[in-house]
Amino acid sequence: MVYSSSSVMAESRFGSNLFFLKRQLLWLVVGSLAGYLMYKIDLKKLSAYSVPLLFVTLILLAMVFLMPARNGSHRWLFLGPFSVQPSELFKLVVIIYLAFSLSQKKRDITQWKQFLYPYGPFIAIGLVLIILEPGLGSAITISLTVLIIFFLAGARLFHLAAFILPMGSMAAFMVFVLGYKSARVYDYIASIKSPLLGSYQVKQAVLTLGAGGLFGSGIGNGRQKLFFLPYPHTDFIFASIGEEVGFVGLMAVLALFYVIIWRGMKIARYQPDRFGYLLAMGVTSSIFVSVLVNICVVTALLPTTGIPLPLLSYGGTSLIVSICSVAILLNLSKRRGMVVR
Amino acid sequence: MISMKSRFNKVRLLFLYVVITAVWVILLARLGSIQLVHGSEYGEKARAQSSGKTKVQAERGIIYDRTGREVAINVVGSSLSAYPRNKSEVNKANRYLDRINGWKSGTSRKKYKLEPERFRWIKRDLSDKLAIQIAADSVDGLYLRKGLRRDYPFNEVGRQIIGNTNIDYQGLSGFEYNHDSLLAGLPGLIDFLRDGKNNTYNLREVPLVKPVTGKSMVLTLDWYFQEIVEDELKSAVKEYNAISGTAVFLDCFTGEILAAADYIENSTSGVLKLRAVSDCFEPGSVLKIATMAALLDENLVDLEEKIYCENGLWQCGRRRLRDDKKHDTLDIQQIMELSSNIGIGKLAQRLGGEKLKDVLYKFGFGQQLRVDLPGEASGAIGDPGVWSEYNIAALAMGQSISTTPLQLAAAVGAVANGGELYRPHVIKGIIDSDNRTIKYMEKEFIGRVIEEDNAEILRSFLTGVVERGTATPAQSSIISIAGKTGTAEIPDPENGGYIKNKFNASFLGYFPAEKPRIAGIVILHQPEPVHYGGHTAGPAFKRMAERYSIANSDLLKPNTHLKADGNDCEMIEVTDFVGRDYEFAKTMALRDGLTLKTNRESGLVVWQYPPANRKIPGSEKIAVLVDSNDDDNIVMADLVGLNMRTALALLNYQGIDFEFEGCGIVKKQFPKVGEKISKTTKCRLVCGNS
Repeated sequence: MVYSSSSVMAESRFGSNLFFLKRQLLWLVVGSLAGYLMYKIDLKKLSAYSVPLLFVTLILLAMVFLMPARNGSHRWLFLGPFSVQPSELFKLVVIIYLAFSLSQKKRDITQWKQFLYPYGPFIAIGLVLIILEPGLGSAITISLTVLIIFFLAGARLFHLAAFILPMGSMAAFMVFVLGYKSARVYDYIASIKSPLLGSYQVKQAVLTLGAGGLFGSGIGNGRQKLFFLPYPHTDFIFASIGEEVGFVGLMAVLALFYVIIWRGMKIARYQPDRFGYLLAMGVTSSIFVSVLVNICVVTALLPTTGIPLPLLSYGGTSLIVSICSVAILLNLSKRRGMVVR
Repeated sequence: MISMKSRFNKVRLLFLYVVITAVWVILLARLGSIQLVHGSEYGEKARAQSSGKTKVQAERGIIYDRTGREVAINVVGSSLSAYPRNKSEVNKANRYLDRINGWKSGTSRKKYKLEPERFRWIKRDLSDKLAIQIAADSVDGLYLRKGLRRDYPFNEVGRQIIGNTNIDYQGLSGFEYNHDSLLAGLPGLIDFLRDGKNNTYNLREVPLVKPVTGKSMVLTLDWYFQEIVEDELKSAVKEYNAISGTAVFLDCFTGEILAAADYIENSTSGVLKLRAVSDCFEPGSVLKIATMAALLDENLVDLEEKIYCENGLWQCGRRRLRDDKKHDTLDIQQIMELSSNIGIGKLAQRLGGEKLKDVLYKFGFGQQLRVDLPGEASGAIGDPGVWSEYNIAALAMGQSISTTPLQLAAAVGAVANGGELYRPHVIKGIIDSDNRTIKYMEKEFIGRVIEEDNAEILRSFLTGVVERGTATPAQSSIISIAGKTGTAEIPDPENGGYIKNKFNASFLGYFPAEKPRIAGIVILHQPEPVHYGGHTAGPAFKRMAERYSIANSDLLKPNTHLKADGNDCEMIEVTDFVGRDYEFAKTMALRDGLTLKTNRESGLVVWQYPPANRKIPGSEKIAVLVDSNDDDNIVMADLVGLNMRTALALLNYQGIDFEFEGCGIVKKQFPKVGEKISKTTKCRLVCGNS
């Protein structure tokens, strides 16, 4: 799908229609190695290093601001011809850290202090850095994932609400009272009902999906990738797929994601300990949230924020993190037999 | 309460599971709504933005003159338009336009006011060089479009008739407008793909619907003659200080219009209509031809009889009729030659008003001739109710009647050909793009206006007008001309009567006098101080006839040496020199016994006269032009020794204005051979017989 949706742009930009495909295959090899590592490694031991890892990713997040911008944002660290998105790494590391930390016996998440102090600062720093990139989409994805983990870990609903409500009401105040970007918000509200009124990107995404119809135009036959649909191989790959394989194909894609999530939850249920459970659920819910936000953007249910669709979008870091996430789930599934208590 | 002992909270996990499932259902529903419920609508919109059908221009038909010269053709031109998609493309386009135009920055922004997603033409009909450069630079937001446009090889010559097209290649005026449906053809359809950057890709080589090329038209006009008439009319208006002029010439035997021109001095808008067809005026004495035709046909005059012309002042009822010069008695022929109003007025009494009016109708006056030109006026013959002596006399001498110049030309054409009136027309035929004739216009006989023998008598009168009468300035040494002068007072539309000291001077005639071929009229409006038709319109008519006859030597007087026959000497077939190197052409000419005259001694021959395969007398020299590729620097060719027809053909081809003295072979030329000249140079030739 990456090839089909990117070949025209690659040809135009880099003179070879295989440009993106080759790079993605390279990332796939790297990702597979990383995934194999994740599959074989003792996750408990790894999690012991999660605190230093967290600091490393935070430093990386800060470093992106030293890098030149691409598409108007500082999301990438450039290493020679390749680029890395620290925000994706941050997501995975946070999940591992939370699973590790929340499963400590002494931790009582129901206590406000226990809930806020250990986690509040670094999550806040990470999120702020990501928002400043600006990577609002990633920030929202990570926040939602973190909230779900807290929720499953047994945090008090009141505490969670105490987090969400001030942020939500602050946002609402800014938008509706101060008029900050309110036009965009009104546009967005209008576009939920009639997607064609939305921004150019949303409109094109919806037209692309619509052009697919029930069975799609056939793989390789999509026309919207001819510079109508922006980012046809990354953030909007779901629309590209929808045009070429239609509603039926997208149902299959959604079903596969559903299976991954369902299997992930099953693996979590059978974990012998709280660490395994939280890690499995963290990884699963991060996949769920990413898929949800990405598809909501493409179908005009959320305002445009650039986040990749796990496993399918072009992008090295995203692919490696996605593969690692699945590998972690597979690794955890090995522990099924070790039933405890 | 939450149990910390358990590794997980079943309720919360179940809740999350339900949420995820619900979300999936919502997403599926949303996708169903977009792809299935609105799928066809959105799909249609997506297709509309990425593909489309567009019209393919059909080529317009060509307009040819009677000799097959192309006078309106099609050329491919490139146009530049802007359709920037965003602010940055607007800026890029502005910067680029400033650069290629050599403007200081900001000029383009002010001039074109480009905005995102707004289409705007920048420049139509770019030069080829510029188009290639812009295509190579391919700036975002700027687009080149190739299209056909109309080109007129003779520039402004004859444009009053053929008109022009607008920037979108549609007929706007003249023939281009009136026959647009015929010339335009039918556009074809082509389907194409377009990407988000507005690049288009044709889906197939052959268009969906092929465009149908418009029909071509062959006109009866002779563009060389048209050029001569326009040129001479303009100089006559200037020379005689007139405000405007009109001229029209037609073939006596077919009614085919050969040239029709209008010139208005100090006109700001140019001449938009052809007044020879669309405007009426009071003809004055030129109408006496029709009156005399009626008198002859009705046998009301005796060629021997003398008419008392009252010494210039005739008390006619309560009004007075004057002659320009005092005459005692004149015979019938003299009345015509000297254009006596009293004489013709008295004779017309024998016809009576009604009869005269009938004959004038027969001649085609007072009605539309149904010419294939737009906006034809009918003119009117006055009906006084009571035909007093004065009213009859006035009508007989061309007052109280209005006619178009074309009606007069057609009428005199009928007299010239022996009495048959043919419908004037400008369309000779219609052909399709494969040169198959679709329609051929036969000449249309309207009616007989005078008996053949009477026409001959009348023609002898008209020859006398030029030889001895009022039109002696129209005499030519190389072509015999016959006709009738007119010096018509101009009716005052406000106060009635006539405007004092303002006249329309005209000459209505035909040539050659002894064997008429071409009839025509030249009218000069309000020339001053000389206002006599014979002294103003007459010489103009003569110059037009002369210049046309030089190019068509069979019209010339028998004793004129221009005539290209010479059966007594050996005839040689002319070799084709065009495309040869001059050195080689010279060798060929030597071989074939021909002599070449040229403008320069090296280069490729691009033109020759007489053309290849024509048989010429061995003594005649050939003119060839060697390519210079440089329009501004024409080198004066060697014309000495050429016969006049060849010399004038060469000057005509080079677009150089000329005047000449005498006729026969060029003896002297100014400027001299090899001098650099321009299109504005007037070349003078002194000719004589060898």
